[in-house]
Amino acid sequence: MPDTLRGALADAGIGALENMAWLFAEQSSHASDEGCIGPTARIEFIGVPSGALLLQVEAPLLAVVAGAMLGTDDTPDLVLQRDALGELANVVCGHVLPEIAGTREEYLLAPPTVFTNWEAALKPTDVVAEVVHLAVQGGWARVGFIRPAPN
Amino acid sequence: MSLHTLVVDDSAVMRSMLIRTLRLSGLPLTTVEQAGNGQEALEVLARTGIDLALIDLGMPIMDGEALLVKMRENQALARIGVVVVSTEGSQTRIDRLTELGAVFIRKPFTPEEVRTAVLRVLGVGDA
Repeated sequence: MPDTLRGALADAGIGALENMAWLFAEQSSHASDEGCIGPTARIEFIGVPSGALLLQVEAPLLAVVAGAMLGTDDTPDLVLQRDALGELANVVCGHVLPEIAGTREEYLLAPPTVFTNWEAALKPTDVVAEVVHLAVQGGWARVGFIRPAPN
Repeated sequence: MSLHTLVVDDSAVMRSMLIRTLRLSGLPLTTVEQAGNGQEALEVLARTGIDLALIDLGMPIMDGEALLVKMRENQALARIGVVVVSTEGSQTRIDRLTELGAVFIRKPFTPEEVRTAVLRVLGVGDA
């Protein structure tokens, strides 16, 4: 299960960055981004399993990602950058869930919430099941899969 | 054929991506209207003659599936071609949307995928 989850997170993260922002990305074994600043989108999902998906993109890279998604060379404002991050996270989440739960399972996805950094996006009851680091052209990103704490 | 199109998605970035992709697809578009949720979409549909609607599923206030059901229940809107554009990965839900006459494409999408889906939902062969 961890290998499957790890692979699903990496594939979905890489696929979303490449197909939505046209940026080359690859899985990175280095956790060099720990503690670094970067907005983080959180998407809660209800199904089997329930949980949340986190996507953090380094701040300068997010401006590039949002510009690419909008098809502009100008730097989009912060509202559009957060919108782009949320939509990217939504796509990642939508691709991860069927990989780990099968295509017959239905999920209810909450709208993305964007936080200033990774730590702010975590709740005290969260159990981080897996985190994948991605090296992206000119920056980094990370994807996390959160399970609620067992009762 | 010229298409007066409605794009429904709560993300302004995704609406922009979709409109750009539609234009790249070579489809004969006229005006492209936008709405941020199902309720706003119904308001646009009530005042404008729309030929084609591209609808996201996960939206606040009224989601895409509820919008599609309301369109099919309304005689004036029932024949509008609908392409659902979503990250949805559940085949169960996709089957339900297909039964309502929608064609489904998954985000992220290419101009070719959008073109194929639109032509399919309109019952038009590609030239």
